[in-house]
Amino acid sequence: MRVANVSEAHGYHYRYLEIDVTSGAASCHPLQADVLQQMIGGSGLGTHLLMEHEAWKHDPLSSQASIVFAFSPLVGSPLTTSAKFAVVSRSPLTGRINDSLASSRFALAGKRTGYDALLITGRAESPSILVIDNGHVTLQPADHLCGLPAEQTEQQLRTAFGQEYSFAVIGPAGEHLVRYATISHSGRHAGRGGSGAVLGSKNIKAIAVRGDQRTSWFDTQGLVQQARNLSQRSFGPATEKYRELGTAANVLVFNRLHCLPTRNFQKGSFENAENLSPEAMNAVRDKMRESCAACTIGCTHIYSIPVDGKPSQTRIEYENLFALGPLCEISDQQIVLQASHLCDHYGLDTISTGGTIAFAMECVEQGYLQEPWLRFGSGEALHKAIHLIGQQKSLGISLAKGSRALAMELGHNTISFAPQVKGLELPGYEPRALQTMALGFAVGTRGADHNRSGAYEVDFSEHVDRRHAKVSQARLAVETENKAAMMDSLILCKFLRGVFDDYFAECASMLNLVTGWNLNAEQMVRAAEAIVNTKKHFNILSGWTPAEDTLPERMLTTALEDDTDAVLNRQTLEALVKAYNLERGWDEAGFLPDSSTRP
Amino acid sequence: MKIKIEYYGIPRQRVGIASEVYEFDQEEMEIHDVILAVARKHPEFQRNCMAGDRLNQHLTVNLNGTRFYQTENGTARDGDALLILSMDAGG
Ligand code: SF4
Repeated sequence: MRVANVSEAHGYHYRYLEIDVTSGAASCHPLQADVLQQMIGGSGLGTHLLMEHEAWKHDPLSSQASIVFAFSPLVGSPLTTSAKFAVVSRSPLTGRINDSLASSRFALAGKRTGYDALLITGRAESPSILVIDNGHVTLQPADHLCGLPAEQTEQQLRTAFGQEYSFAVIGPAGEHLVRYATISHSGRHAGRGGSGAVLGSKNIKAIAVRGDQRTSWFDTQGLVQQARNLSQRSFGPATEKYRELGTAANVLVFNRLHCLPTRNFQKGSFENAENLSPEAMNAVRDKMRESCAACTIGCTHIYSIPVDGKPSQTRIEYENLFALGPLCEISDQQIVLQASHLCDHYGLDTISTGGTIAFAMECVEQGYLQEPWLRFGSGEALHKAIHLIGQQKSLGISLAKGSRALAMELGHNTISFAPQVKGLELPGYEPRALQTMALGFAVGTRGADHNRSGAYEVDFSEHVDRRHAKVSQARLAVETENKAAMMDSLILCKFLRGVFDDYFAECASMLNLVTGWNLNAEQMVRAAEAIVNTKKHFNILSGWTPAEDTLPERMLTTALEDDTDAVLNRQTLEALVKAYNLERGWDEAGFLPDSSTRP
Repeated sequence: MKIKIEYYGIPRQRVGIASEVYEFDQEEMEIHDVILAVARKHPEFQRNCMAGDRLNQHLTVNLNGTRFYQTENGTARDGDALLILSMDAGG
């Protein structure tokens, strides 16, 4: 097999663009092959660049803070689901590393600007559009876009700039620095951890990208063949659930297994879950399916809803349904879909929005928060709370900081039931009923997260007893995390993962066809580990302590109300975390072996 | 003995019902044999959810909402509920 020689550049541009939006100055920096072979692209590359720029030092909303839009070697290739980008920064919600991913044409156009990543620092003097046209950078006024939701912002930009440009934009929540504001692109969001607030703090309402600098592929014929094969497999049973029902198919399954978080994680099932199932929605609503660019799966299920008396639509995922439904004890389908639409309107992460509101509802119930209107089960209250967050009014100012900050403000040990790890609200996987996932949540570098750890896969297997974890499960949790790190760096959609027979070998093969490198599966595993280590290193430098790798106290002291066999105590979790750290090659407490990484 | 079969996600789409009860003469049965009985009754399930005489690798079985038996090696007894669902719980 031919291997590319060092002078050949395939798949990458081997450079990134640094833009200081205070002055508008841009500078190009080289990226070395050895760095790219370790960090690959996407999340890995973004984290690496943040380390180089010592982003761990700075307040994430300060002008010195950096935010990276990182593309990947597969972007622009014919491989299905590869049109993705990662947004990486220090999170204003957690203070730790945050990498959130989104799909579509922004990834394609962004890479065609001629760079593998865009690193943005500084703060523009006034609201601006950052325009990158083939590497030529300008800042244009965005005052006329202020206050507009993401969708309208994109529409206006498309009219003004034309179809050749693609846009990443923030909604009102990002402008108001809501700690869990998203960055949107074509209705999809880089959702978690508040990257929208980071962009907002830089006075950047939108980024417009255009370019014609395509990377070449090392073995075009081989790549096309592999892409065909992968697309073929993507039509098969591995992705059937996503195509036919979408992620919302989880609602009834999780409910039956008592792992559907309900009433701020007090229960694992919801008596009206059936109302929120895709089967129930399909029966009464028009639905259409949509795909991200370059995707053959098409998992996006869009439902019709009335908004302000007019027909409208909203994308529905399991996470939106769980967080805005059972978690707040709301079963009215229309209310939940409209709440999801509102989150899109403001540019809010639905998980953190629902998690924070559900927590506040419980605080009201327990008498720690004097907002009697904010009650579990009240759809009106849910909508009102979302408006207050998005507009930064009254209680919304506190809710906009997330459940951890709200608990700190309220005191009375409310932190014991704030549904967060490291400040990031838990997604819809009840940790007491899915205890390998509980470990994944506790140790996750960006906080409680189901996209960086796929440990629920272990819980859904016959290898473990999901409600009685053993330390041997730590190794399995590490494996799922490594797979996710590679997927988020290559980047391919996670919904494709079921089609691979030999995951790391196939990742190596795709990367080799694109770049001409000669990596093997073992080297891909090492790269995944290096990416996780780099994220951990970032966190250590930003002030991480071992005490952060845990779960809310209530989950470690109280059984699930409706499944009393689902008990996870502190000793078990601590033993799991210790086993995980050792499995990673770190010390028992979770520090990297190199003593220079200790704070 | 009576076993309740609950279908979720794609299996539910193929079979067209949420659940049904099967009656067998034995006191207990291998989960695998229960799955074969389901496949015999529902041609759509046989066509779309089975790979040969086993569930396809993207589906799994759970007994009474507790343990998973992906390899179908387990025993079902009178009054048990057998859940047939997708292996992939990604959300
Ligand atoms: S499977 Fe869904 S999320 Fe993944 S790329 Fe396709 S449409 Fe986008």
